[in-house]
Amino acid sequence: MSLSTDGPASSGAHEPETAAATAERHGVAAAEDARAARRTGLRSALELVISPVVAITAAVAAVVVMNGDLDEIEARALATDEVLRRVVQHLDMSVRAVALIILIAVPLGVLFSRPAFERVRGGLVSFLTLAQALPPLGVMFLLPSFMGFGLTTAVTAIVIAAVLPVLRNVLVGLERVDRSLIEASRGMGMSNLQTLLKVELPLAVPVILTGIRVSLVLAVGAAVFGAFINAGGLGYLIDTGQKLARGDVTLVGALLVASLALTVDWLSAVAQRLLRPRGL
Amino acid sequence: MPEPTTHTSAARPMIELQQVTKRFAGQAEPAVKALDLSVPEGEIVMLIGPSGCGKTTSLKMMNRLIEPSSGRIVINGEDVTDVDVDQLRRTIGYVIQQVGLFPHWTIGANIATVPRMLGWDKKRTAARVDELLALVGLEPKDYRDRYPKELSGGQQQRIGVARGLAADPAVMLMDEPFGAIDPVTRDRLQDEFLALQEQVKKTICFVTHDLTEAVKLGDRIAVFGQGGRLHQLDVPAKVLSEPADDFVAEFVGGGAAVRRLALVTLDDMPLRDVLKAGAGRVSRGDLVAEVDGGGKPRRWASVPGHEGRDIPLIYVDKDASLHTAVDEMLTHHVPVVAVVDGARRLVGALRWEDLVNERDEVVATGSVGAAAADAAAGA
Repeated sequence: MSLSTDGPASSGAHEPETAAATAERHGVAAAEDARAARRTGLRSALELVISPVVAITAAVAAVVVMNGDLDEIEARALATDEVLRRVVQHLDMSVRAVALIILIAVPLGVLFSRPAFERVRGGLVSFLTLAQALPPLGVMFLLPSFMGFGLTTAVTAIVIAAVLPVLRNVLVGLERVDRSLIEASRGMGMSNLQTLLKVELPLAVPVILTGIRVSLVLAVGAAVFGAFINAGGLGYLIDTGQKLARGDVTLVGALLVASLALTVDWLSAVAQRLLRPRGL
Repeated sequence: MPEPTTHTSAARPMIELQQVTKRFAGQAEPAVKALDLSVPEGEIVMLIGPSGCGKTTSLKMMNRLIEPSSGRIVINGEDVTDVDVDQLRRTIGYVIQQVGLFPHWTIGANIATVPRMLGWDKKRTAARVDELLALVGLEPKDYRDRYPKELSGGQQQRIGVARGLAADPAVMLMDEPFGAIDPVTRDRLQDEFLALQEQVKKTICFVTHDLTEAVKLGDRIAVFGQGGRLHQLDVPAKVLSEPADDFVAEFVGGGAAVRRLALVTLDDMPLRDVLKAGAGRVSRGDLVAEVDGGGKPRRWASVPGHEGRDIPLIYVDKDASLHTAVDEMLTHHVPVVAVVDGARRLVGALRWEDLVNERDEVVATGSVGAAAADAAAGA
């Protein structure tokens, strides 16, 4: 509408939004976005730097001990190829377990996220959150009594120890997907399966990856247990050191477990950045 | 502004709900009860009513996001009550208030959702995406590869509308698409939407809770009451001037008379003749204006009843609504506005007294007004 008395009255035409107003609105939003991005950017940058620094420090410390003044027993336990064999065994157990965890927890999480389970879902998430805080060691020590010793038992034990974060995050990640996106997807004629595969799961990916990352770290820690049931791994060094009263051997085992856990954490942080869907 | 159409339309019904009822489990009363609703081809029907009146439920039954408990739904001559829902929905455009753009897909991919499901080839899909972006006023090369979060709310809903139109559906269902957008942008989107509809001529069902929006956009308005009862389905002017029952009268409320002003253009009004100063004998009751060589009004020379007061000359285009004219009178505290044509030539005047004293007669005798305007223009 014109404000001057002699100007033409607009014929019901709308006032175009001024470029300045648009720019201002976008400017404000952009500034907020930028601040938020800087904050998370800083946090994840720290995360990406600190983990490898500590991991390398721990590994270097282990190497220093290994090359120090060792008696015969220590030298045998800490021979380079012997230690490397333990590291490989350890990683092998952890990775197998996490692969199994993903194969089990993702489909299970998807299943429980379907409307049929809506009623039990809240309780299930609470239970998983609580259960995650309990050390599953008891279960792990019970397993050999009916599964015997060896790799299978060790992997099973690690799966039990580390499965919950993935299961919980699949549930939470799917639950957090904006309902209106699902409505839009279904309303445009995507089937339930298409909606799950193209909309729900991709959008849940960041949360699921966080769960997998936590699981990996837990698995590397839990794999120490492998040594007690004849599956090897770095737990063997820790155990041997204690049995033979050789603190250096235990220390190397512990340092390498820590280094490995941090390295795995760092690798998954990098993967998380790369696998996050664009546009989020 | 949609032309007020006649009571019954000759166009064939594109969407028909026949005795459709929806009962939700655990609720005693049905949300929608034996609803008959027919939407003629190429028209916009606005579903409006208080919350819980079943307008959204009715809309969602048309693409079976909500399955009707009983009744028949016929779209484009086909009973869709039992067809494959996913196939059905791909032939119906759907736009929602929250927009629901997939944040992990580019704008182009979002618009291409339905064409891709329908198996269009890449070239055709890409061409369609660009065509639609241009149609909703966004430069294709600037926008097709962006992500939704990089767009403002208004831009996002433009994409939402483009996505709904992507596979060129005959029918569009829109669930309060502009409800969450700031008033200024909303007004603009509504104007763009009407201009768009001029081109695409879709059959549109549009849920709103905003009567102003319903009056502005609707070819017809369907007023719903509690229990999914349809109280009135008619052109906006009729809903406002002849509410079918007390419920509708209360719903359109005391503002109905004012809203109706927006539906009448000055062209439809009988305008006062205005004499040109110095162009002949002037008697006491005449409205006189000074006019320049091109016929453009400069100032009032005499306004009967307001002698001795300097009344500024405000002019309004004859295509503007009565609402605009009244708005100008109130804004500038004037009892009269000059009405001009596209070239700003004086065609007549509208006086406040005429509105207050003779409105009914005035609206009823629109043709007389046109004649008066012609006479004034020719004088």
